[in-house]
Amino acid sequence: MPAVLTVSNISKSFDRRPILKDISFTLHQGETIVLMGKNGVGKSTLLRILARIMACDGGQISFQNKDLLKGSPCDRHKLLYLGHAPAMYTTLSAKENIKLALTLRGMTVGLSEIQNQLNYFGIGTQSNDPISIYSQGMLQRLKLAYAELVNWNLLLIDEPFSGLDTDGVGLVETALHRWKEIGKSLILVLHNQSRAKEFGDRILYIQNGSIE
Amino acid sequence: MFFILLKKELFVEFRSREVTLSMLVFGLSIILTFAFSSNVSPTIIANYAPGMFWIMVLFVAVIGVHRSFSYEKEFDAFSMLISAPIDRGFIFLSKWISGFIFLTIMEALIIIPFFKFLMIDFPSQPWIAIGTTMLINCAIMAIASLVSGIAMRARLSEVLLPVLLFPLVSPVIIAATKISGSIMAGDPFSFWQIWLLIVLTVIVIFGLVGYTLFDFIAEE
Repeated sequence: MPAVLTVSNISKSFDRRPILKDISFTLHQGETIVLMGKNGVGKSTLLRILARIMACDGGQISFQNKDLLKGSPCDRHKLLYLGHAPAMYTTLSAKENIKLALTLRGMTVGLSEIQNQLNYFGIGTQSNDPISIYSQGMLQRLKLAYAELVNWNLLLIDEPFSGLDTDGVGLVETALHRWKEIGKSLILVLHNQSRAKEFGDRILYIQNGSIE
Repeated sequence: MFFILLKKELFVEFRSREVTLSMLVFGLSIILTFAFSSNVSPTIIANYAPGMFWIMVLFVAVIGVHRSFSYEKEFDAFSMLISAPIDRGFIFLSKWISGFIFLTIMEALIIIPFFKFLMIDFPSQPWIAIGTTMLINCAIMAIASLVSGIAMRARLSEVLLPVLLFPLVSPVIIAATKISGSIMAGDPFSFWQIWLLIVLTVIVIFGLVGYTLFDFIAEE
């Protein structure tokens, strides 16, 4: 399988305190990597660096054989990042937020298709409400509905199970299994060892800024 | 893509009306403070009016631009923009132009109370006054949008924004005061063209710098 993502010697410090030190790994097409480690070791930081939301101090990232740090914005067209927060506007509704996010990715998706996804993820009846009134679980479902509508090749997802009820956990598990089956590449941040073994083809433990 | 982002800025503001309302209320309260606290002759007021107006606009612009960037922090909404496969320079341009639109709307609403409460005459050449005011708004918002983008990622952004902005914007405020004062006095263009050139230079420099550097500024 060809490499989708090659991370070479990524390092990052906060206030001169090194968080990530020479992180290197390769993700192949259709592979799922689970990042694990204690709170504050830099798992979310690494995801944000890969999504180019956060700048790194040094290193290189190659996505689909293109330099992600120096290349054009179009090079990250097939990369989707879903962090802790929904990354959406509080005053807009779920439908409006998804429509906007898809438009920014150059995609034209009808409102009925967005509504169908929101229905599937159990937040269809609140799809016109501003997301400021959504609970943590509803926001998590909203992110998943968005991920289903984007034509991504690599998904970076930070703690997808947090804040979800039993039904929501089932929806995430189904979505993750489906994405793996159709050959999508994923990098997940998880804390649960059994789930990491269930979904991860490889588990990378981050400790003291390095992959153990 | 620029128009999509600009539409987003206007739509988000249309929904909340937080930026324009806070700018308007603050602007009106400053006018009332000026009007009721000064008890001097209309000639003296007319001399100080341009400076008072542009100082008020500066404070109002700070409130507007701070609010415009702070709702990007709620729910980490800014990540939607910067993780999208778009030229980040367009984010700066959309913030700049939307800020310009909000500031111009606010000025249009408070300009009549400003003249009426301070009991000063309207300029004899209103179209020149409107044209130069819009250029000055553009210059103020170019600097404010760039500085706000820098300050947004800082822990004390609400403190850092005015500390960085006021020294940078002071040449524009001085030029704006001179231009408006000259127009109010009916001076010929040659008297104030140098100040207009300063404003135009700021628009070009900060517009280009903002567009070019926003890719790096936007990242955490």
